[in-house]
Amino acid sequence: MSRLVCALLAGAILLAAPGAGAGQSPGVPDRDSLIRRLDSLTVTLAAAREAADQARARRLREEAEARHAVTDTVFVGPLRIITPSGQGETAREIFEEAWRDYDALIAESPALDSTWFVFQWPAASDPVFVPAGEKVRDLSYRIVTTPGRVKETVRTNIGAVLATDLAGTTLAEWFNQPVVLPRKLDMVYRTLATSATSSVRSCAAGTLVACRSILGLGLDDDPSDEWYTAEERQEFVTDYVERMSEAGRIQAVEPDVLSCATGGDTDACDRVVHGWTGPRIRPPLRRAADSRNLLLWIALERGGREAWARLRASAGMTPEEALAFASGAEDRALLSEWHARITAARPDAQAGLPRSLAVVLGWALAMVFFTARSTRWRLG
Amino acid sequence: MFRSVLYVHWKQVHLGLIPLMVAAFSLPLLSVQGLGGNGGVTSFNDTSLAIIQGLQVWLPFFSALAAASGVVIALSSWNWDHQLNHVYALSLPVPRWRYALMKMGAGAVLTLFPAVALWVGAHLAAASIVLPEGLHAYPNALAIRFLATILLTYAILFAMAAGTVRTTMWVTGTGILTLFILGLIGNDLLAGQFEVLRGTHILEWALAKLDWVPGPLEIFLGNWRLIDV
Repeated sequence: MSRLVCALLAGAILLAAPGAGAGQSPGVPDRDSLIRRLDSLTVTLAAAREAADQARARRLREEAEARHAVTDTVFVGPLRIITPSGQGETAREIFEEAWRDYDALIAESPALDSTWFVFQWPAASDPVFVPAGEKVRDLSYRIVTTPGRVKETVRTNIGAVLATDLAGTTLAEWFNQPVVLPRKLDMVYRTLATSATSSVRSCAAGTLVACRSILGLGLDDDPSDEWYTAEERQEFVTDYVERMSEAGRIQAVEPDVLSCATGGDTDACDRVVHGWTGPRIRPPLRRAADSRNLLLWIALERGGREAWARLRASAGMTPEEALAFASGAEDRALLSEWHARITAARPDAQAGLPRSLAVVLGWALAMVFFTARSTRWRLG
Repeated sequence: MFRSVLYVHWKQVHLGLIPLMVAAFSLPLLSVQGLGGNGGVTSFNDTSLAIIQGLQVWLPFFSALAAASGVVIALSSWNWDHQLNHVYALSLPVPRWRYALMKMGAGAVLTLFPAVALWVGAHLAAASIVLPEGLHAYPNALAIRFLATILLTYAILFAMAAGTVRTTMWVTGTGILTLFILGLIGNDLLAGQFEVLRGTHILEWALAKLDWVPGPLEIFLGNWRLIDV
């Protein structure tokens, strides 16, 4: 209740109280006069309430108008972006560039359709209005950053929302990351080519079965034999024993483990490694996120704009079946292209060096020309 | 006469050049400190990746050192001429263009000093570690890239310094400072107030433009790794 109403009520009570009011007789007023006074005050109270309601409505209307004045809604493909007024163009430019990667591949995404992206760069001091009850992805940058980093983060966030489309599928468990086009394939190549594990190096050399295995496709419950050779499995155990020893917990190591690590008993090593499950058997591939993303991306490219819908409908399929179903291609074909793209990104320490030398020589000669022609000697 | 010009330039620059040679020799050795495998068949510590990632932080220093070497050699080449009002040069029985070419050639010879120092250092660094399978050392490619970068920086600043050294330093220094001030203060701190500063980051833009071919600065963005696949 507003202050005005409270004040009026207080005034009414005071006026109605015995002895209140100027010139009133000190005696107790009669019942009828009190009723008349109260009746007159009821009308005043009603008028005050109406005035208060109008004031409240006016204030709410002004607040709503103010909210609309500071908020813009930008649409880029299926993306809905809410941004403070004045940042609309920046938001459009950044989201358009990020969406360009997905535009040719994603026809429809329920996750994107139901998500609002809140974009503020830099974050405004006033909160941005967000429709109640909607899914929101907040991209408010309060820190100093560059457009390149903002674009990268926006791309990752779009990929993260997209990935939620796959929830409930086996593919989601295998993938479990934002869907983005990996850009540093040279680092993926470095990881493959320099791995200490022979299965990874075998993949780098072009053995697609090895690639399939290290990517985590078509594995049984115990992939250690596929991932590691007997020698590597022993080293795996030795590595574990060394870490336990450094941590002062060598007493907790089982006899079989010690026998494998110290005695080179391969049977013991196999028993140990096969007995280990879960995170203790480390997958051999580093940068697996980029590698899997590339494979998924290739499947989407091959499958066209409907491939995403097929992936969403792949519940019950294994990851390799889902990828084949979405792409319409055999997993061997996908792996072959995956390998070809990574190999094409092989960094070459001398790549571009002759061209760079030619450019440097050209510029140096140009500088020689300018130096020889200009003079401060002013000899006439 | 070329030998005299070379000697004069060496006398002028040696105090600045020797520390740069020491740095060029040391940089590859420093960059591989603590890296390298034990030569074993396998290692689950990912030695190869550690080497690649360990070298990554040193990469900008190679190009920066090359640029610094070029700047020092270029600015020192015209120093005496300007200080003595070109009296020595005017007293020589050669046309101006030939004198300028000889000076430039002398400076170009001096660029070999830090490049050779780096080449030796790079070979020693490569020999000092056991490279895991899949990795190779590229000391020659690195040294050639280093030499080309010194030559480029030297040639550009030599042409500018033929006017005045002071102007060259002002122009270059102001350019670099402006880039950083606009990039760090203009973009980062004022971006909240001005939309125009939000879309394009000066430093980011400048770095992207370095890649332009046949732009002169493309060499700075090449592969500066001493060790790679």
